[in-house]
Amino acid sequence: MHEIGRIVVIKLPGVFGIDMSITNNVLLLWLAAAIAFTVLTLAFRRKEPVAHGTFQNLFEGLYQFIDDNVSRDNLGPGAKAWTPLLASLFFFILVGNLLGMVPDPHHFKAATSNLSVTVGLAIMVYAIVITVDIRIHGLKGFLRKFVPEGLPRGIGLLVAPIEVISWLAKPVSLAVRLFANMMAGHALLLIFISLQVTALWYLKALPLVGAVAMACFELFVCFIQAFIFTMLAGMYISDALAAQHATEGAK
Amino acid sequence: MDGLSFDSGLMVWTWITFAILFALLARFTFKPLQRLLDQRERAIRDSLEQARLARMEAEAMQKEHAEKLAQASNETKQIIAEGHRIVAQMKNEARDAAKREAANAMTQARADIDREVQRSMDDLKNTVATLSFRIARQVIKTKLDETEHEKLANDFVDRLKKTNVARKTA
Repeated sequence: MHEIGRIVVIKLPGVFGIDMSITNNVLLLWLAAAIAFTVLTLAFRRKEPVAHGTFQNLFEGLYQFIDDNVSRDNLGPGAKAWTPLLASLFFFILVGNLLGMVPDPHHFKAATSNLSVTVGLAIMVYAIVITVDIRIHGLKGFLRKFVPEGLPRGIGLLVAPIEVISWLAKPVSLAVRLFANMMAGHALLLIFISLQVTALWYLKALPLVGAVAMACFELFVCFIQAFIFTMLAGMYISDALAAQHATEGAK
Repeated sequence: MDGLSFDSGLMVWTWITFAILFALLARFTFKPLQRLLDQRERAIRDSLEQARLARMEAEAMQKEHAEKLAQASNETKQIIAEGHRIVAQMKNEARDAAKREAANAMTQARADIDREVQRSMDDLKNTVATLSFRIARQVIKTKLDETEHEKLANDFVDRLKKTNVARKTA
């Protein structure tokens, strides 16, 4: 038993040398987006001041969880404007993660267990961070943060590359963390299921117990990883908005 | 390990997909939801404020009622005390009136008794005088005039009275 590979569903012409063909991975992304949009729209279809039912309460709770713990805690007074973006990110990653829990490894896998997807999301978050940073503090202010204030020029030139590497490590860690967690979790789950198929009859129960335990843990990991990615995105945006940085830029 | 091989097309599709999802969610889902949540937050805040005001009002009313109750209790105590006082006064007045009435009745009775005694004495005196006169006429067979006769009778009565008084004191 093995995970499904890359399958081209519709061959499309390349754009700037990039193969834009619709693959099974793209379809998984679309499925994740479609499920996220449908479920959230259904959950919030009632426009009444009082929440109705468990379904609406659950998703309202998740939205407010992102609003309280990611937006307001990190982004301060203007947090409300960022909540839709962060909530979209959270729900998209969450559904993308949960696709890996569908017990059909021949057709489904976590949309986020692909490095291209997580790198894409991390680059997108960092593009937003850089845009916000430059828009608020200017290009000069943005570049100044790579040279810590008060250092002699010689040491400053040495420190600057380290700062750049440290700054670039953030989106890399953001992408790799999500990818590695989803990949590893689902790989383990697949191993347990494969063991269950191939094990001797009197040992078949052991991998089954392991697979059930792993599935429960993986469900938890799906939520946690979506939250961590969103939380870190919020923190990076918050860094870009920080007033301290603004004063450094002004100097 | 298909996930590790980098697919730039998939990365671009990730951006496009997320951008569309974000646009749709922001427009059709999160915007109305945020409005709803704001409305709910306002409603809850207003309700809390109203509840706070109502509680303050209730506390003020409770305080006022307690004061009124205390005042009413004091007034009741005063009224009861006044009632007791009036009842005691009325009792005293009734007792005094009864005493006065009894004294008056006693005085009146004494006066009546004295008057009746006096009248009886006068009747007796007349009767004794008449009888004495008759007896004396019968005894002495002489004729006395009215004046002498009356003087004689009066002397007799006076002596009789003195005899009675002396008997009573003895």
